[in-house]
Amino acid sequence: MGYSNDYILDSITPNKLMRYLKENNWTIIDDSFDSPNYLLSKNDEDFKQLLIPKKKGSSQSYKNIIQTIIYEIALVQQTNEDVIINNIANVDKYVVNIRYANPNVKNSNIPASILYELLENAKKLYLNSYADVNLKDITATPYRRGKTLDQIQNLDGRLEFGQTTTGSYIIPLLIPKEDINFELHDGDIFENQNFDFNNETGNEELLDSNGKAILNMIEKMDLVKSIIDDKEDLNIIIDPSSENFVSVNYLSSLSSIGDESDETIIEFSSTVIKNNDVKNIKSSFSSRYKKKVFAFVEEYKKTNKLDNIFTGKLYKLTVDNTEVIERKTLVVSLEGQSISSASSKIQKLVCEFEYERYKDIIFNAIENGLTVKVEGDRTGNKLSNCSAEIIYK
Amino acid sequence: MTFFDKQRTKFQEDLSKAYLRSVCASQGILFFDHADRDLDGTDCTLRFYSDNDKQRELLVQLKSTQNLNTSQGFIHYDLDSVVHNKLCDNEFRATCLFILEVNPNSSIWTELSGNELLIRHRMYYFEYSQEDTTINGSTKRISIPVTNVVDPKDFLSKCNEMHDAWLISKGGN
Repeated sequence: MGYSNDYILDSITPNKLMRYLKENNWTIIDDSFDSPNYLLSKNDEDFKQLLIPKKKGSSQSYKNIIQTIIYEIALVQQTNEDVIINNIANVDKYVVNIRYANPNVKNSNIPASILYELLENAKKLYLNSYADVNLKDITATPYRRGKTLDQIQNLDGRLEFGQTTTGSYIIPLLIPKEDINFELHDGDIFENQNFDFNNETGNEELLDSNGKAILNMIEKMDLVKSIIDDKEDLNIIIDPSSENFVSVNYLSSLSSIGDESDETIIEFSSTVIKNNDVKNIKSSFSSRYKKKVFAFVEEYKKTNKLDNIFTGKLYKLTVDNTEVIERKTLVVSLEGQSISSASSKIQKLVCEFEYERYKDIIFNAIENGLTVKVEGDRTGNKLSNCSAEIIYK
Repeated sequence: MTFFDKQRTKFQEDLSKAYLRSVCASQGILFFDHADRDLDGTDCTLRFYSDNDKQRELLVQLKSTQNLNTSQGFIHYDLDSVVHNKLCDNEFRATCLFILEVNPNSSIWTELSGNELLIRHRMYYFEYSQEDTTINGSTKRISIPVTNVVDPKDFLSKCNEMHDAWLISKGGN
């Protein structure tokens, strides 16, 4: 990779450095008023110490100390400096590493044909896991339909994919951390010289919503696999009252992970801190399970036939009142098929959208003849409270 | 011109590093060479620990010269202005200058006597926390007390004194 000095100076702030070091078991041992630097030591290793600037500087000496710190951390962690820089730059995010592995692909690259789907479905898998574990009480259904929840929409906009790693096709999905301490201190926690490091950072027994979602995403993957291995019925986990609840949405995303090759394995791994313990979590998913989960999801959709999610094209409706000044809803016509079956008939429906939220998507889809997926509450031939996303351009 | 003559500057630098490195070794001070890293304006880092095991560091610019100009209890050394100004940047680091006086005759730079290896001659230290940058175009004259001699007997305490001086200069940061 190789990061530029400018990138390092902009990204590796003292605040991020301190957060990273805290998470890697370094502790402040000297924060004397005179010194412009904190002195930290690695727990249980008295003479592994690091000087960390108390505030961000622009001088050459600041740049030098940051370079030295990265060099020293890389030595202690026995990894290269680029990895350390990347980890520090993303220290306020969880990283879920998604690895594509297929022994027949000799150059460690990923077939372009599966990349898009892998990225999209990995993201959806995470968002569905988030909803399963954090919003179960709101949705209370095995299969969430209709408009995407605001929390999910907001989170979706904050997810990122990080830089890939050389040597193996690993895609880091970056998820923001909700740091209570950081919020309490108005983003200034480590730049305040008078705080008690241990007390301030000790209350992390509880995992935040995103941490829970990551843990859930990876643990439930193992659960699904064990149910399939034991030849049990996946229906036992799609009950929202079940302690091990997994939504059909999650299973649907899972069934789209990977490709059709029996050799392909998609690995998911991450690190979360729970009860002050660093937990490394990992699971993998292969075509064998993918086929079984896909069959289950298809059967579920067939049995619980869905007639409120359609894919198709949108058309303008005749505007009955042209003098509306503050439009709140947008009503258009849809010609499409229910997603419950590939062989379902084309239907004509009237769809009602929230104007401000969906006007851009709708006008774009109508003007350019794009295919959209529409979900809403169905009454007769009308879908209300609709959401829409463009699926083919 | 021999290979040695062509590379004389490099060998003088090596000698000064070896000189300081040997004193550091005898005083329990870690010596990190910056040869493979770009730590602006400095050649090495001296890392040592206070009485209560707190890590301290000095960033060192090493120089060597064959002709030291001494008068009124001071050694006067004309340091390149660019180097001087880099050493003055000590916002986050303690910086200092070390100068080794080398003999013009390279064949007596080192000498084995009985079971002792001698390295000639004296090395002087100069702590930079009180220095200001210069606008001089070429050099800045540094005046070092002749008593600032690197002596293996008390070099660790001298390093602590230099670090304390830097910390005091940062007081109230």
